[in-house]
Amino acid sequence: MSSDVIDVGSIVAEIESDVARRRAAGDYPEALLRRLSIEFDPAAAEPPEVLATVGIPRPLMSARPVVGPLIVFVKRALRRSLAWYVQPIAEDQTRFNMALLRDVRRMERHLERLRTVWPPADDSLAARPAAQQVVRSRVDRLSHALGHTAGSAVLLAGTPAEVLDGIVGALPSVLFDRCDDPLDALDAAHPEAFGAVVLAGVLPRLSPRELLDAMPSAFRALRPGGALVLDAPSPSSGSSGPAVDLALRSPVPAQTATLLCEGAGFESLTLTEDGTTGWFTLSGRRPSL
Amino acid sequence: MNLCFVTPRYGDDVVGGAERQAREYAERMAAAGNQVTVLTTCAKDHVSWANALPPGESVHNGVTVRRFPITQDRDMTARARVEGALSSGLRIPRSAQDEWVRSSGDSEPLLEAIAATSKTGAVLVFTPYLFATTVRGAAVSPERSIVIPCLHDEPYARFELIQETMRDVAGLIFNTDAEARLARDLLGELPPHRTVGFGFDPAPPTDAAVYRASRRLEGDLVTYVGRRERGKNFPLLLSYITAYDRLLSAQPPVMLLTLGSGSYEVPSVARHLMRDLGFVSTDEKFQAMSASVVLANLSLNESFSHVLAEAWLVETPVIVHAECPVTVEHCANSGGGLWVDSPEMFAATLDRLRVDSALRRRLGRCGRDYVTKQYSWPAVLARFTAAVDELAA
Repeated sequence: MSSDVIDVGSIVAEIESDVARRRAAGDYPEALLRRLSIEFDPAAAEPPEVLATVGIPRPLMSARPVVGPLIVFVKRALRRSLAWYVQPIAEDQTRFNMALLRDVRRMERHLERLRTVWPPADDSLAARPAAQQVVRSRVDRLSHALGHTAGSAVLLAGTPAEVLDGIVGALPSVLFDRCDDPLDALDAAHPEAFGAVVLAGVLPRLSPRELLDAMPSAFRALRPGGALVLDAPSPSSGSSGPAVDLALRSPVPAQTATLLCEGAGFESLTLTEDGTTGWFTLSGRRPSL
Repeated sequence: MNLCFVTPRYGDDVVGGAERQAREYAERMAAAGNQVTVLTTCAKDHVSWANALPPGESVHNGVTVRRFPITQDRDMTARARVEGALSSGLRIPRSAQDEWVRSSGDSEPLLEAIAATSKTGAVLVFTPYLFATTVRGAAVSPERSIVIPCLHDEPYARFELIQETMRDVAGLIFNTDAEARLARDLLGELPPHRTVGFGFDPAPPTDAAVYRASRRLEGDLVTYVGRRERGKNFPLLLSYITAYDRLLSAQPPVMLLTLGSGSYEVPSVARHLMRDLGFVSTDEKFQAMSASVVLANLSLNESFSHVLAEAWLVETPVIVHAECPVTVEHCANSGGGLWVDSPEMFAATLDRLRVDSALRRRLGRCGRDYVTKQYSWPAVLARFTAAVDELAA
């Protein structure tokens, strides 16, 4: 071993001493730390299959001086003496819980096929400088693609707040109809209601089934000659923004998005890729009559 | 030397430290001219134990690999019953222990193959301790069997069935002295044993600045490599990072960069502090570690901790949990890392490392020296060969 090995034990002891001093001085917000730790409570993060097991996980302890060990001994003896009675009940309950969970999981799968709850965009990303650069670039490209739609109704579906505000600000003469859940909005829209539909950052949030349905739905909601404009992070660039947005379930390559638009009947498709931010923008038109 | 490794899962894409260790030992001993066979199951994951791979024999990197199907269904109710009893402090009867072990990778044809192989004069090397392939397999011919337990301080290590397995074999090979001490605490008298460890190749060249630019990484990074799950204390690390950012540090924010997999649902309060790269290439893993201020591993369940050594190979210091004897021992022996046991300690330690770049560099260099001298593959294989010769004699 190298003769220059650092005595890390003494460094740790030094830091411990500093922490103890600061703790004694009330420098640490103990109550807030406790509350924060609840967010990460391992029990809450356990899948239901683990929580469904009925047991008695509470540790046996006593903080009383002198008699503490005796109290723990008595508690342990009492627990063991009752185990013959409690254990079969716990096993029966566990079997019931597991059976119930199996049915709940089966229903979840059915629901997933019927409807997906739209995951909200993570607006906390907007604060980071790199995220703001991405937002500016996206607003510029989307606004440019929408430049022809002055006075027309435009559906901004599922657009994150910072991008939405940017587009609305850039195109003051355009009528915008905003919604949070694009699939609901497209399903509810009257046929041929909009001059343009904007799906900004929407595709990676969709399940495969929803992805197949989204373009035909947008096509129906557009008037003839209307424009579809969408953008998404390009998987090949490794970009999903400067921090994880867990709502972005599965990346959609530009080629896939193009094929989906073609399949739905859109024409004059234009793809632009931003090498700096890693996002692509795709626009197309519903054929005019 | 005629060696036969027995492990429940085997393959390049099998995730798990013990499984990776078995594969590296097997391939390198084969490359060194030894006759090496691997007996394993057709399973790829240790949750479903589904027979995902075809049975039969193949040769991979000079190693003959023979796969056998799992023949015992995983009984979730039986396992749940055992888990429930364990958590209530009850003694698990031997029959339940046997049921539990059999539901983890049991294969009757594999046991028959072990019996046949033991007659060829091969030394049987089993790893890790917890699965049916080891518990039942080592019982076939214990006098020819060596176990690399990869032991953790967990309730299953107290099963009489498992302890008997480890006492009855010809020898045990531990990864660290801390693991050997744990085994002594659990088993009392140990059979002949040696400490060998895991080997590492030199890290590929890294360029932290280029990597950070390519991944658009900004600010100071804390890297986590491994499964994002409670068993590895990942929720605790995330809570420490969040407390650091929200409550405990006046420094600019730090980003937790995670590599690997896992199903832990990140609370919304912490999402903006974490960036997940998922599974990356080995080269990128080293690049990410070299671009970080520190690698954090707060797991209590370690028998060696490969990621510490990998971080040290690129001279990145580490922060570990004060209650994990294995990782603390590595840090103390190497001088390459510090240990913490509270969010306040974590914050103070991280602040110190972010501010004191000279200390960071010294810790990193000490860690690198430790790994290259103690855990280079030539050194490890020499210890492993000597251990097998002595224990199997």
